[in-house]
Amino acid sequence: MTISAAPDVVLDHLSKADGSASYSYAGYAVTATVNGPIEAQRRDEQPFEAIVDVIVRPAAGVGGTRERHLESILCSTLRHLILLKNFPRQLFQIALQITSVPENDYVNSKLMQASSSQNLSVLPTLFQTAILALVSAAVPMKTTASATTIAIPKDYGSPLLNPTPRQVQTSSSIHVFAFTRQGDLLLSQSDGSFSQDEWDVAHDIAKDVCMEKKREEVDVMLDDDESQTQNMADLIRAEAQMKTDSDLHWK
Amino acid sequence: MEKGTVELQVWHQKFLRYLACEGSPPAPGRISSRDPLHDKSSSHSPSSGASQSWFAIGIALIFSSFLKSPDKLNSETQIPLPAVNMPREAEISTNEKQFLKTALTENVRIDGRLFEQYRPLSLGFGEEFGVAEVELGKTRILAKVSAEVTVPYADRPFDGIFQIVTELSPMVSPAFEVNRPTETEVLLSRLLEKTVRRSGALDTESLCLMAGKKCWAVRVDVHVLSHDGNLVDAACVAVVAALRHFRKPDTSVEGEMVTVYTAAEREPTPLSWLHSPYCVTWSFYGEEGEMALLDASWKEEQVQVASFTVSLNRHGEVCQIAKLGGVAVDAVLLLKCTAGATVEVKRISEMVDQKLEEDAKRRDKGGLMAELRAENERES
Amino acid sequence: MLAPAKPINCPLASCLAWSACPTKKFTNCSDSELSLFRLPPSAPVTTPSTDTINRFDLYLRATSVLDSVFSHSPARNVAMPLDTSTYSMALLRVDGRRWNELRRLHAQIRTQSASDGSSYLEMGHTKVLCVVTGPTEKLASQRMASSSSSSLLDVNISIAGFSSVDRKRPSRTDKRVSEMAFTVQQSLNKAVHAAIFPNSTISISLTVLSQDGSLLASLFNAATLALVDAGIPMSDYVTACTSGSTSSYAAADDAADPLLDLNRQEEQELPFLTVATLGGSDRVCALVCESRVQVSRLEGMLAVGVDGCKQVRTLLDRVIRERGAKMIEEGAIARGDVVGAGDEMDTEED
Repeated sequence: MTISAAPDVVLDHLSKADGSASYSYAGYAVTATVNGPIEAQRRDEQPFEAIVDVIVRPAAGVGGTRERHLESILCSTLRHLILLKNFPRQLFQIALQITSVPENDYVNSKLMQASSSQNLSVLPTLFQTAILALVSAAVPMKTTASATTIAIPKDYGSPLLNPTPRQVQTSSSIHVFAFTRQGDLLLSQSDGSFSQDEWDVAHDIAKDVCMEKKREEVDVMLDDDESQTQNMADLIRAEAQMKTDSDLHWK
Repeated sequence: MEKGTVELQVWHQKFLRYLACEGSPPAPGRISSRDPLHDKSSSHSPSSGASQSWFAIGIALIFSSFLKSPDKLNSETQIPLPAVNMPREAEISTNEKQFLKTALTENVRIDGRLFEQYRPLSLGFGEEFGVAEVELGKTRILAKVSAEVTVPYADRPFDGIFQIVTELSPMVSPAFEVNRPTETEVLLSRLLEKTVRRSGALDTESLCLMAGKKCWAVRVDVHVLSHDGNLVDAACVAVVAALRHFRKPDTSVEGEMVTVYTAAEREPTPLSWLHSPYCVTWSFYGEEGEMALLDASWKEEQVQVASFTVSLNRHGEVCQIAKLGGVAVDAVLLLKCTAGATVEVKRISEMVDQKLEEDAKRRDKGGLMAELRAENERES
Repeated sequence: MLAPAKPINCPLASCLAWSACPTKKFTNCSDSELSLFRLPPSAPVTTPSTDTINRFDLYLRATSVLDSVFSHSPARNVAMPLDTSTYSMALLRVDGRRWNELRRLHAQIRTQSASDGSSYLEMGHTKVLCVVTGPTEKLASQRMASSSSSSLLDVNISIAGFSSVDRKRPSRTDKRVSEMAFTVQQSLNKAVHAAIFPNSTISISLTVLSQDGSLLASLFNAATLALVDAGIPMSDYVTACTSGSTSSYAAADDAADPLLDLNRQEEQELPFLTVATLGGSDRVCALVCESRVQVSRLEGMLAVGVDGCKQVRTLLDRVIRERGAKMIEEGAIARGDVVGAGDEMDTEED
């Protein structure tokens, strides 16, 4: 299956929600809406801070433990980004709908069961979409962040960024990292067998992709036309800027 | 009932007397005969404490507000009690309602459409087979079809399994909770089920691989991304388009062996599709539902007095009709609406056919097929 | 699909003979009577050998005899073709009715003395019991449960496991049943003067004892009767019945006739719809069709259905008037009593 190289972002395209975003990259596509701050259910509310509710829904089939697992990872990560203390007794609801998952033409996929490695490779897309939707809903955050997947092949080849399902299948381990734009590690999930060195390599590559480039570096980057190393932090900024520009066009 | 009415009247008189400082505070009529708590309050003498009588006056005032509300006969003024402990959907304001209705009496819809005009309907397909996204105004629906091999139901050994799943997630509105089906959801899934499944649009017998042992289970997941009215029509287009777009893996049966080929081995095959039904929804307005509007938006739906969904196919066959209550509408108007729907269905049907054709052309050109073949060669 | 009529159709002949008999009135007789007459156990049965339709005909006869013995619903859940060719011959249906005849409609009100309002209704072999409780205060839990919190009525349908031939375990989350409940609730909500009862709820519990077609219509009629019995002010009766068409969806024959008040066998074979109208007018509260039918058939079916609703209204009205007269006779209420105001308002309207 051919996979479009450049990430595709649509911001604020759903009318009812406070904020929404669609993001597709490397065959994965996710649509997200954010509602918040809204009143929390009385049984859930926290007296000193807002609660974050993340709902992940699969493209096909009913959500199960896989989705609950992803939800818990996302929820605990996003809690660190949103300024929760500013909104006591309130709720931020983030609904994430997976709309497309790259298909592996060589395997007939079963609907319900998916291996844990497949779990992880959708995580960066979910995370990225959630961040974009939060930005679109103008939810106050400490910083923005981005995530990426890295697979380390079985044959000790060079680590692969945003691997295809086929590559995931044939790799010895995969790693998901999320960094803030300042380059602080926010999330690290790994699956498979790997050494500390391999993790370090993966970490460095991911950090490079997720962290904001310094000004001068960006200028250099503009010259070489490598969509492979699309910088995620820049992407969020660029998309947000484009959206505000088009929204304020009338001015 | 009869006893209640009398008692309530007596109690009302007592209450009036009480206001004129003649007697003890009466207890609310009907309940008094059964509820011991209220019995006590009715029997208590003027000698009881002042605080108690103030409490009684409080109750009395609350009840009197129920009695003295002849001006509240108009059902519009009734304020629904808020459901507790649940994030609520933003309600349309009384002013907006009034504005909308008044505009309709002057033959104007708030978005400037004609009464019998659909919002722009667009249909798109995903990269993979069996994904359709429909936009109807601001309503957005995504339908995804998936198939897997399972065991057929014991009572239907020759049929495959076909189900349409609609779950309204909090994505639509925070008022929808996960795993708690609402009325909207039940009605939507029933309508889709009746329109597509019960009308026999998909030949379920063709999904059978080995009688009683193996069959395909085709599942359509309907994801509502944004709800701005008329979910049914949009969802129906999405479901039909996605099913017609879908390709299931090719299979072969040799004796007791069923082989399911991967997409790389053999080209997936389309489902055996018999006819394409589409829903058309009318909303009624006015005292007797004399005004009929096609494709109401969310706001218009909040004001409608009745709605009428008819499902038809291109050949003029009605697959389903649902006017589930609401204000009684003249039968002749319903027939007119059905006639209007046949025209609309032809239009939608042509649109879907055309989009499917375009997509097939797009896929064929430049050769996804060629690419697959090349990949095959590399593999072998 | 349908084979040409065979000389085997002897029940028809007997039916014709019976309908010509002057001593009996053709309309409003019970189905069991009919089937008894139509199918004497000693009826000569030619044994067909080849085609399935004849075998099915036999099957029908056998079961009809059983029905007449047990006076039980002839409903069964087999989607077998029904021999409608008999209809084109003598214009009589499987149970011997003509196209525009209702089955026997028997109804009673005030069947449960402990309730605020109650009714029992039979449409042919479909039997429904209805109990109305209220108006009572709306509880917090009820507000939670129903999304349409402003709704006055709360309709609850339970279908007894023994109501049809194939015994089914009643499930709480049957979408078909909750859709029916929704339809009844939404239709009656507009007929009841809901504004008189703010923040109240009236619960309507419907129990289906036996199913033989026209289920939704029976639910409507039973609920209306019980509401009248409970003295809930309504603008008029909401009455319902089904109507069908003798053409199957594929056949585009123009000779197809509309049919009134279908039984279970006919419902399984023919396209049909359920119509509910307000007070015998031409105004339709609810219209539900779940089968495939040519759009050109619709007009005829709807016209017959609306007309059937008028007939049903007359029958229900008679039931209420008779009961009212009896109560006055017995001295339970006096004429012009405050109590009866609700009931009288309804009956004096036409």
